[in-house]
Parts: sequence; C-alpha cells; structure tokens
Amino acid sequence: MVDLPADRGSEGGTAGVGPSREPASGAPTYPGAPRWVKVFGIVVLILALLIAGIVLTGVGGQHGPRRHIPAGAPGGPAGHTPVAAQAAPAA
Amino acid sequence: MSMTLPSGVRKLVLTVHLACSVGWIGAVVAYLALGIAAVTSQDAETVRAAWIAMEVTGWRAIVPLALGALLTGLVLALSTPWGLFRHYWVVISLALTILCVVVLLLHMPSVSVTAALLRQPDVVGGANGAGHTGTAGMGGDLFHPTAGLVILLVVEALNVYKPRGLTPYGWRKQQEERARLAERAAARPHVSASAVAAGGPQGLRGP
Repeated sequence: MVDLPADRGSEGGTAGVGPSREPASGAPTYPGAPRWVKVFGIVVLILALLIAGIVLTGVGGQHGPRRHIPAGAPGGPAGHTPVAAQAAPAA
Repeated sequence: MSMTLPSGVRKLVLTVHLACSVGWIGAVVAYLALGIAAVTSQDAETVRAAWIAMEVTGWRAIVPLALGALLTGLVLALSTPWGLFRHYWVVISLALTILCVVVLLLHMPSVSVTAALLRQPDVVGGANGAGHTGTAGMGGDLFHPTAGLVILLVVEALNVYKPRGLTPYGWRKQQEERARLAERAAARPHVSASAVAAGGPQGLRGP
C-alpha cells in the first residue's frame, strides 16, 4: 500500500470485461469483476473445500489445542490413551 | 468511512505497516525453522528448546507484528483514496490478513500447551522416551506456519502489484465522484471539459 491510486478515469475499462456498458437509458452499469478476481476466488474455494475435507475426514490427524500432546501425557487426548495406560490400575 | 491524514503521519503509518508486514513474514520463517527442528531432531533438548522458542516467537513476535500489520493496514486504507472496500486487491488482502490473524490467535494456545508440557521436568527422553513421556510424540507444527507464509506472500504480492479492479461499491463511488466533478465543471466554465473527461477526482490521482 505504498502508492496512491493512479488516475482511474479508465477503471471501468480495466475491470476485466471491457468498458462500462451504457444501456439505452445512458446510465453506465458495473462492468463486473476482473478475471483475476474470478480465478483467485475459484482457487480459494477449491483450497477451502480441500482443507475442510481433510479436517472433517480426519485424514490430517487430530486438530485442536491437544494435537501436539502425546497420548497418555497429562492433558493429552483421552480418546487416544494407549491400551497399556488404560489397563494400568488406578492409583 | 474515510479520514485524511497529514502526509507525514501517513508516511509514518506506512513505515510501521511495512515494518510489521515484512517482520511478520520474517518471524513466521523463523517459527517454521524452529518447527522443522522440532520435527526432525532426535535430541530431546533440541525438541524441547524448539517448542519453547516457538511459543516465545509466536506470542512475542508473530502476534504483535500481525496485529500491528492489520491495524496499520486498516488506517492506511481508510486514510487514502484506496479505501477499504473499493478495490478488490485491498478487500482480498484484508480478508486474508484477518484470516491469518484469527487462525494465529486460535492456534497459539495449543503451542503454549505443548511448550508448557515440555517445560515439565518429567517430560524427557528424546525420540525414544522409554519410561517417560517422550518428546517424539509431540508431532510437528509445520502446516500452520507454511500455509500462513504462503498466504502472507500472496498478500505481499497483491500489495506490490495492486491489480486493477473495482468492487461494485468502489465503482459506484467512482461514478458519484465523476458526476460531482462534472457538475462542478458545469458550474465553473473555466474548467476545461478535457480535464473532466480525462480523470476522476483529485483524490484519486497519484502523488
């Protein structure tokens, strides 16, 4: 965000779909989002779906604050306590 | 919403913004280096030191720099003709920065939990950790800093290239500015018609 915007007098023509269309009424209409925005949006959507799929299916492992704590350790994930630890008699 | 800052103040905010943004990227690279050490090292003390350093780096460097970059970016956007919602590159940069900050603030507590666990004297043993809670079970923390770094580099590129493209809101504002300028020109005949046709408002011109 170093430079201030240059003359945007022709911005309508740089939005990716040509100059603003002017209907019979004379009022110009929004020319639409530029192509790079559409491509960017599609890429982001694909990545978001990919990450959501990984998280929801559990392929990427457990996610959350206890992710890095080994099973069996204090505060570790109870659902992943090793069998040996489960069999140990309670103190 | 917009505000105007004196040139000197705006440059100061810009300086801080650049320092925070670039510093954020650098701090994430340092965090990533520590994360790689934590994953690859077989030495328990190295793993322990790496996780503790990751926590310190995260809370004392990455989080303040991230918040500073976000805050100064907001001030710059609102105090310049770029605006906050007029140009797609600004909107996308803002959204990605907020995403990074939110994920960072949600993720750092888990790093603190791991570092706190590794500070306990009974957590020893290195890769094998026989008879103890081994540090090898800590896993790694490479995904978050790697993804964050990629996003920050994308934001940096957007800020450097500033690809053109007005949002519907920005386009509407531009039309309003043009109409206002045309009205002024009509009221003052000495303003040349070519000046009106050539450019938008003075505020949208470069320095």
